[in-house]
Amino acid sequence: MATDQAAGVLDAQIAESLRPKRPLYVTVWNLVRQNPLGVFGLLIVVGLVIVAVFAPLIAPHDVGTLETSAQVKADPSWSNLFGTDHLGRDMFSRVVFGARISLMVGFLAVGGGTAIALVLGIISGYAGGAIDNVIQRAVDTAIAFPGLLLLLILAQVLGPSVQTVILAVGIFIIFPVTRVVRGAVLSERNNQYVEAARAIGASTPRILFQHIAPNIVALAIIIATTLLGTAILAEAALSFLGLGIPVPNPSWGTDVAEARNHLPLHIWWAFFPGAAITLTVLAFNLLGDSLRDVFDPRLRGRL
Amino acid sequence: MQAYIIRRLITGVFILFILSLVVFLLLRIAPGDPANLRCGLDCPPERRAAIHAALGLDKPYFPISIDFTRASVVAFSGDSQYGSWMVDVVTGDLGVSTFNGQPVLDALKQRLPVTLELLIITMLVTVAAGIPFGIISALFRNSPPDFAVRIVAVLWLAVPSFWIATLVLFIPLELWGYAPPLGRTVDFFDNPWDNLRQFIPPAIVLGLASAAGVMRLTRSSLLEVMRTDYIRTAQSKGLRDTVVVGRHALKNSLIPVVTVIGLQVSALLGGTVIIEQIFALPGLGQYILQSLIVKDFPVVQTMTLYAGVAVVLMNLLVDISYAWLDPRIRYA
Repeated sequence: MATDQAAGVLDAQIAESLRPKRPLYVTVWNLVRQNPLGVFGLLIVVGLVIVAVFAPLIAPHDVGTLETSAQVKADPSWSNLFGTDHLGRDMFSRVVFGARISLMVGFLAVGGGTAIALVLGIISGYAGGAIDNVIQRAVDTAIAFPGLLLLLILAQVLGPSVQTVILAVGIFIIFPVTRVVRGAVLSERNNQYVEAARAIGASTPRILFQHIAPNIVALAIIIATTLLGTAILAEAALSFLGLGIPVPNPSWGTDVAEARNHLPLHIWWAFFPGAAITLTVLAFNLLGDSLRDVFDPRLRGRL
Repeated sequence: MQAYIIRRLITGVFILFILSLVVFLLLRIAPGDPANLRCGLDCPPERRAAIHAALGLDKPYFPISIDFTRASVVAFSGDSQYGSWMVDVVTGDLGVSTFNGQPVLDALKQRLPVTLELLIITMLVTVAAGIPFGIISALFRNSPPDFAVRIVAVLWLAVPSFWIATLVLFIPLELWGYAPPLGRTVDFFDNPWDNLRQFIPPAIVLGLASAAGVMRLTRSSLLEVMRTDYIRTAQSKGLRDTVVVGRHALKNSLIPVVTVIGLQVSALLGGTVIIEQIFALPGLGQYILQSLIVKDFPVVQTMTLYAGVAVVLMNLLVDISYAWLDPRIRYA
């Protein structure tokens, strides 16, 4: 083993010395040229994360307190970039704070769901037999079902709150990911490196988590990125239907619903939160697509 | 093939059984008492008990219940909530709404045609927009039309349908004072024009995402087929491009597309909940949503189970048609 590792290090050093020396900006430029859309998506995602983290610094007005002097349902202007809602609250500030809720729900639901799905999928794919059967029939049941309905029932049963939405969307994520992970494990477990590990007496958990899991994590990250868009859309749809993020919170979906409920419709009030959802989902989809193209072209069409 | 279909049907029944258990239990752990809807929060206990008895909520949940606190651990009961629901489902008795006492069957008769028409027009929109543009995109790869189609597709996948629906409904109203007929639907055979005015906007909005998916799949599938040996053979024989694409490439490239179109029915069923609500179409999606919001749980559990049946059957049909379209596929 030790000599193997030494050889590996040596190989890496040789490879490094043979690689043409390029300044960093050339590498970056090549990446941008080959994946312009992916880089565009990444930049938007980074921008959104910054907006979400520094929301209190970016938002010019308070999202909750009502300013009695403010104009109700105002058009966009310099003091209210995105106009105001029926209570005179600044929509730009609400959209900025909405990024917090959307990204938080997206990252927590997808992160948690994917982590559970990784464990379930690895167990299911590696154990086979009865355990595999039970897990796969559960996945069949969940998939044989209009996802939004399941989400709606879960959200209604648990009562509307941020935690509920994260939990419901997270559960919704587990099933399809479990299936993809299981498929990947099935194709990994017959590889020679797994056989070699077993031959030198590695225990099953060691084979699973030390040898197979690293080969699946890249796949999981790609799926997770693609699903982030789906999760954010699901949160927005739930909130729009009144079963997601409860009212005073600045959620994009809830704000579109609020705009629709206060007729006559003030177009700008409905426009900006929805545009923010579109931009966010678009960014995650573009990023996910190009991650997939770069790391695993075989996945084309399977997701 | 027959053995395969039978096995799939058995699995389907099993899946629906699990689904029924999950929905049944989920709706029973939900907070809130249906009796509140009938006589308010400060309902006297005896009225409350009477309402529970009328709705069958005083019965045990399952035919077999296990009680660890008593000596006789297992109790059997011929008259349980789950048992009588299953008997009703199998005998086709859909029950009545606990909210307004309307028989579910009546609601179903009124609302199913609305949802079916919406789904059919949506599928037409999906196919009519998705397949031709996917073909154009693949044949003129990396040209301006291809980029245009791909950008539109990736945008459509990202746009929330409820937002576009809201804008589609209200912008013409603001600008020109135009609104499609809302609420009660007009029968297609009485007045096709009004009927289509009512159904086409929601169908287009509902079909955006699925059309984008079909577009992308058609493109990648056709590109893959165009790289195969038999297409090169056809081209080197000197066949015209239209014949190579029309007679040889398209047929094979559309097989996966047909499958995906079938599978999208499940997603569209979920989408109808939102779209019917916004466009005030009295269909099944709206019915489920409204029943869920007023906690009319018997309706919700029955309708979800039937939605599950529809999806299971649809998936089976898709798999069968897959084998029929592509004779290389054999199910054992």
